[in-house]
Amino acid sequence: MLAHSSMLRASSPKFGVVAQLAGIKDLSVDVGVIGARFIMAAADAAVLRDDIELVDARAQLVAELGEAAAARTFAVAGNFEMMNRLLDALGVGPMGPTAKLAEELGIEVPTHFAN
Amino acid sequence: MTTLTIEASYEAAIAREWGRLARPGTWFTGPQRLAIARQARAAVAEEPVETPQITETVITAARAIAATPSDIRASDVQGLFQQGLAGAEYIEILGIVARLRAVDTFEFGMGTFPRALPLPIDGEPSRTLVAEAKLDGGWAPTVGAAFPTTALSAVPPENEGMEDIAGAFYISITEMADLGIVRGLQRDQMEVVAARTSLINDCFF
Repeated sequence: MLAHSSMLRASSPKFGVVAQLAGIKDLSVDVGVIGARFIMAAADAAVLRDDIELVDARAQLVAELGEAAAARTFAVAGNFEMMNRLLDALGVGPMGPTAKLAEELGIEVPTHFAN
Repeated sequence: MTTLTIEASYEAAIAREWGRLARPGTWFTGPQRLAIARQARAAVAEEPVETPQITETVITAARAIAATPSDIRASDVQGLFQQGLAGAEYIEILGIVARLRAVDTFEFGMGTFPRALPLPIDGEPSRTLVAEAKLDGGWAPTVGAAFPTTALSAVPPENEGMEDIAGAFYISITEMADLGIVRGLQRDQMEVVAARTSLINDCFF
């Protein structure tokens, strides 16, 4: 979560915005990235296997950003379902500067990791 | 709208993954790899399934990785090894389950889940041992320090499969440095998905 929050912060200025990372955790905060609210709702429904929420979330995302964006949203969510498992099953936790980001975001990082 | 059309590049990536899943791997046969996949799906659905092709130890690993990965601890992995599971076998199970999850989550979102698993292909696993793989910052062996790009490196075909899915579903390793890339979504939008998915999964990396 922390590494990609860091990449969100680094990439958003390329698209003319400064992402508010708190919005990843706190849905009352606007992340500031185009369509983020719709993207997160659709990704949440897919990851949580919520087929009731998914119907509206997917329709709203398609209406807002189009079918290709919706497909990429689900593909990226799938990719990180994969990567999360690789790291958690090996006990790989935050590294280097991303550990400092946890403090900024108010995230308590567990201590069970191998690294 | 109940489903979205799966574009050709995604279909091709899933077809390649289904081919990897069905073929003999490095430590497991095709029928065993599919049994691992069936256990993974059943674990997510919180259902039992009979898979006589694989041992209880393999089943335990597959189900934990599929359904409760953030609950896995060093003692769990060591327990599997004490029951006779080799480090490289654990890595192969991890590769199978993790990539299946990528495909299944994508298809769930698209409204096309579940895709039927492929039929197994006969043959023996290669049993190719990577001598330089060792514990290095992770609970199971890797070549080099445990990291996203090396997570499955103790079983190279599994790592190649992970890179294939990552390149098709997100961006390739060589594209990681391109913070302005656009592939259906802008890079910052992709990172919103990445961070949010990882938050939901309690993955802190």
